[in-house]
Amino acid sequence: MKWEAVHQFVPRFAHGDAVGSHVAWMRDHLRSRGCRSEIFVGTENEDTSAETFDLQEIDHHVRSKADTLLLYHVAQASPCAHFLLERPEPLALVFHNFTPPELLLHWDPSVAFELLKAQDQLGDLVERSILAICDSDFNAQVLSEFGPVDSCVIPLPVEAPRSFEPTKGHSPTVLFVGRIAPNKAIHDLVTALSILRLRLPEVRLRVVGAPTTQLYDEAIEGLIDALDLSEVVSLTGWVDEEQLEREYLEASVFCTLSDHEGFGVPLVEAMARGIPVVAYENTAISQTVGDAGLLLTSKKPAVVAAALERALTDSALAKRLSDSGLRRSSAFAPDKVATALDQALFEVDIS
Amino acid sequence: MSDSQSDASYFKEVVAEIEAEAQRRSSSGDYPRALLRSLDEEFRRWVPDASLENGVEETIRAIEAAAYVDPAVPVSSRTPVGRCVKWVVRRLTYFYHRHVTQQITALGIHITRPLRLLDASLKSVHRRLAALEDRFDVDAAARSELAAGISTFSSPEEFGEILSEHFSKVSGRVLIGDLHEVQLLRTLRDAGVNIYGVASTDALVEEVVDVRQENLFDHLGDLQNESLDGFVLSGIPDRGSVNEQLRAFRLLLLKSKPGAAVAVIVVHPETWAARLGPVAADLLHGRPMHAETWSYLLAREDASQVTVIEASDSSYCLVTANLP
Repeated sequence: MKWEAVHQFVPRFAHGDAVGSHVAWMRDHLRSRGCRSEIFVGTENEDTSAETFDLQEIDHHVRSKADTLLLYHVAQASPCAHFLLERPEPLALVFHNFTPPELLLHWDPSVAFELLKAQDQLGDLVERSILAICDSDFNAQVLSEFGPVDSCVIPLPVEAPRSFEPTKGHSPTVLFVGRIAPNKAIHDLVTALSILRLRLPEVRLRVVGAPTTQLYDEAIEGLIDALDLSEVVSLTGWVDEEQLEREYLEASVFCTLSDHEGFGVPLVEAMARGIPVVAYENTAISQTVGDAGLLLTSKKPAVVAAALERALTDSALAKRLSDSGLRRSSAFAPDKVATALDQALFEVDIS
Repeated sequence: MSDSQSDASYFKEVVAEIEAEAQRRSSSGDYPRALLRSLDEEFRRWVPDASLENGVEETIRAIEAAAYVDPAVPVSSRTPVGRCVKWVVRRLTYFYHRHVTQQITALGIHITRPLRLLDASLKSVHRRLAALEDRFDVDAAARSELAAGISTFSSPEEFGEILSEHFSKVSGRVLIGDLHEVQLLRTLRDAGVNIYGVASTDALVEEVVDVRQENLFDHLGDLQNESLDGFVLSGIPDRGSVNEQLRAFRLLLLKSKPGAAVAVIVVHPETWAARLGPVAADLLHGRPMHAETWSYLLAREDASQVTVIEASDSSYCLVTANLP
């Protein structure tokens, strides 16, 4: 099917987060294929409002209903869902998955309710869609629980840096990149560090990402104080791309103990820079890392500390993890993802 | 084999090594036990409503899950028309259902809050007890180093013959633990005793097949009551605290069948102190009880034929008996 326009809908558009980066990349790619493509948002973001349109403006951008595909990025509850259910144009989903509500219930019940609402919306959206694109097999499996829909797995594109020369001479540094959220299990990383520093006193942990809930943020800061780790653990908050690159440059090992990942962009970013990866194996983590990292089946502090110590001190292992990660990251090269995306979108049969 | 496959198997091996190393460090005290124990607790202090792990916690979770009402009414139906009608009704009434279910869920959460407070109080008591225990405990790493001296103790070979005779009429399973050397086990097995060992270190597992690498208390905890036909208690009388020695003894009695043949091998307290030296003898939290004490304990259980045999060099005592 040759679409004249493929317009994307997203709950909120922000540069720098995984969904926002994907949306921007898809828009640019679709335009390069000769498709008209704009971004419509459920909630406006001041920083990106020049690039987006309100939902109601879609009519100005549709020339032929049959030749226009509406592509909705599902990541949270949004007014986009109800709006799209009423539209006559063909609808496709890009399913990024959402955090299971039970992981957030104690910390932020209102967000947990919103996620339940998102699940409810998804059932109706699946019924109405001609196609679903999922970031991972895990996401495809989750989506299938919401109803039958033709789906394909296309990972998120992650561009490798043109050059990457890690800085040397600093303390061994464990890096985590992602939101400070309960499901990301930052607390498990912090507790593991309290064990690791007994054997590697100079080790440091950098947690790079924006806070999400105040309670969890306070819990992490309280835990760091209680374990006397304020000199060891740094919470940077949100950083721009330039600062993020500096964080990667100084990282000795990338580690995530997240309880739920639909894909895991930072894992690929780390692998693309040759940073050894240590991760807790669950949800889509093993599908993203493949055979290129130390995948732990337990995240007991003793196990995580021993794994990090090994990755930080065994240079032969670190080199092999690094080489393996570089090879693995090529699977997420934008040109490969673009080819898969073209096949999914333009070879879809809607008869 | 491709690079990727080769890496995959190598990384799996490394992870297995890491897990074994973590286990070793945890059990040896390289990673301080008190710290490991406190980490989860430390974080849970910050979790809203103090969710803690025990039976009460699971019950509360179950109540919370049950109170969490989904406003989306199922629309499945045997006929497409029925499904369509249900879907329309759901769409039309969704605002109402959502309003009601949110209130029910909020009520559920409020109901579980007092339970969580009670739960937190209980856990606080446990924490204080654990802290109290730690105050009486010297540094785990130092203890581990000092205790290494004890593991070199080995019971006299002459006990093998006596125990072979003691268990000669026992046909069922006999446990020996905590095991620190395999010679006695081999002697008894060669004498036809249906015996197996439980050792807290994996070093012995490679030498003989019927040794299980497991904490003795964990192993006894998993055993069914009255499943043993006999036991030899060793190791723990040499280095366990009085509480540990008595706990092991009680558990073994519980797991033994009536009439079971039992034995306790215990180093003589003077030998123990002389071999360890004054520092270890003072700082280690365990010290052996006298053979007379074991005799007394067995007699109090109405055991018959309680006998104390001293090794020829007086370093060890063997106490044997038959349970009622």
